[in-house]
Amino acid sequence: MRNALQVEGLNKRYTRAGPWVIQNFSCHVPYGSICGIIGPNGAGKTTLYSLISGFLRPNSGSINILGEGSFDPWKLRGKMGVLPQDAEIDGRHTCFDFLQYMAVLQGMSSQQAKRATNQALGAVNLLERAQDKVFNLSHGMRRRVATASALLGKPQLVLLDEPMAGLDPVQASSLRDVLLQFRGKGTLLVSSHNLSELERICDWLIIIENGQLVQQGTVKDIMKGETQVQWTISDHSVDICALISAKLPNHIFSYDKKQRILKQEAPSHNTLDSSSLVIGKILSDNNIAIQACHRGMTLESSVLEKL
Amino acid sequence: MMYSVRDTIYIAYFHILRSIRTRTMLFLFIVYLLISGGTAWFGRAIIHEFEKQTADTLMVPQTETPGAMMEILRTQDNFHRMISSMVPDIELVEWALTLPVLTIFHYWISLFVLPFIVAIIGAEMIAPSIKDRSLRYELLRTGRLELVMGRFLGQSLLIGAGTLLACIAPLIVGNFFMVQQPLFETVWVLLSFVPKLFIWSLPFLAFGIALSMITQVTNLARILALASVSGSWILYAFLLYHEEQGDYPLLISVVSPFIPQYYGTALWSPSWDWILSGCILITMSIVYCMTGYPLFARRNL
Repeated sequence: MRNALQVEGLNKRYTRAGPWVIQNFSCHVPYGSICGIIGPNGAGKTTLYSLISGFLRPNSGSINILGEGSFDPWKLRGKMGVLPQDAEIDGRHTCFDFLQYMAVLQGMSSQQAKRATNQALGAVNLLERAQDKVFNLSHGMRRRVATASALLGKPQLVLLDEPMAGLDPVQASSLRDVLLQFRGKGTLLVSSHNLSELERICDWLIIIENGQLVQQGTVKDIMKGETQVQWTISDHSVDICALISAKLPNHIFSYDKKQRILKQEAPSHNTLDSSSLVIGKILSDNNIAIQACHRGMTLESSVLEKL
Repeated sequence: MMYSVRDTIYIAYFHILRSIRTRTMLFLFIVYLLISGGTAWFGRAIIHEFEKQTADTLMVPQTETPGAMMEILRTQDNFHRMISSMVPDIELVEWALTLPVLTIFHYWISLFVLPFIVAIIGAEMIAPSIKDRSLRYELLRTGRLELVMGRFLGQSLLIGAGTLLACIAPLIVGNFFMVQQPLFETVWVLLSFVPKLFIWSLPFLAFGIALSMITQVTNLARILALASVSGSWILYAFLLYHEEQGDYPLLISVVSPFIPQYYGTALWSPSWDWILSGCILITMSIVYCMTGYPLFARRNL
């Protein structure tokens, strides 16, 4: 599988004696995926974005973007879009002028830039505000203008740092649709603290903490969707884990009495279907009702388990 | 290379557009007009004073509006001495005396004041964009060198326009507040000074831009720019003094070619001799601008 982004042994610290903000970090993002970057505050997500985008220089390590090597504005001209987290847009321009300027700098002709600007403004629902000066817009709208700049033209790789921050639910939902439309056309990296949002749109995840990679992989892998089942069952007095483990010795069971959740970890996804019949029968024999059954963990619980 | 030039030109264009939108261009023009207007008015007042003294000496009535006694003033020693102190070479005095008097004041004051103004303007070119990180949007799409050169080019053009516009003030003062001032000759002389003043401004603008690249604190960049320009004048005065004294010939010959003021005297030349100095000043401005670039090129943004 071709990677849109390959990071190897990346290290970064801001001062010579300061702490490592990114430490021996390696990851890859498959081409065409929507990749979520997850981590607590100060984990190094924004620094990672800045390193990839060439705003910061790494102390060591390599970054390969779209097979062109590290960031070079000339090689990646028009191929890469970035929404920086904390960069201001010069508010004294109209949205249209700012985006058209960006589009021309991406190598488009004036006419192409106008078309691309209108498309990008349409994508973020700001066409009717195109001639408004940026400083007259709300924070959320400015964020959408910045997002539009990242989506200008036909980028193959788009990095969005907290794109949903400051957006109302309607706009967040609308932006989510825009990002989903991107699937298959290019690769998208999205960092966000909204895990349910990422769970909905991403197919590849990177978890980062203290500047180090905790885990990367498909959403299914990280959420253990292939091997884990959570059963919410009625109150009972028997040792349900012991009963089921006796019948399914290769599976691992744990029971959260407070939440009445029985967690099942299967050795492989092939055994899940047959085991569910066995579990169902044992529960039924012991007069225990199944109130809910959820395959895999939620992204939130999965991430919390790892961090 | 083609993209590089295209981006530089487009960044310059957008810089001008930004200056129009933010009214910084208007502010720049007003500053230029105020300085040239003030200079012209100051020149008018001095001429008036000379004329009053001359009228008293000749025991004729004093003039109400200055300008009528210019022919007499040109023959007088004190007026001669004043013009001599304004031009850098004694051989230029006779030529300077033939020029409309306000143009001499305009040129003389501009040569001294413009470096300070353009250096401050230059200091505002990059630093604020580093501070608010707005240049990240541009630097995703183009090179850092193109950004710097684009803004330098854009601001240079604005300064050129300001220099041209500043000619209006001495024309107005000469035409409406003085008498017997030759309009067409004044226009012609002022226009001949425009390219010289424009080129003279460039190294100092480059000073400011270079300093703007090494800090994100705009006020610090402004202070450093003012200090640099003041320092260059002080250094020039020091070198000039010791050259006259015959001291430190090696130091003077090594240092002098690196300060713009060394070439400034050639800009007074009435012939085309100044072109060579002008070319050196343009080259010098690019070199000065680039002194801040190595740090900017490696800077974390």
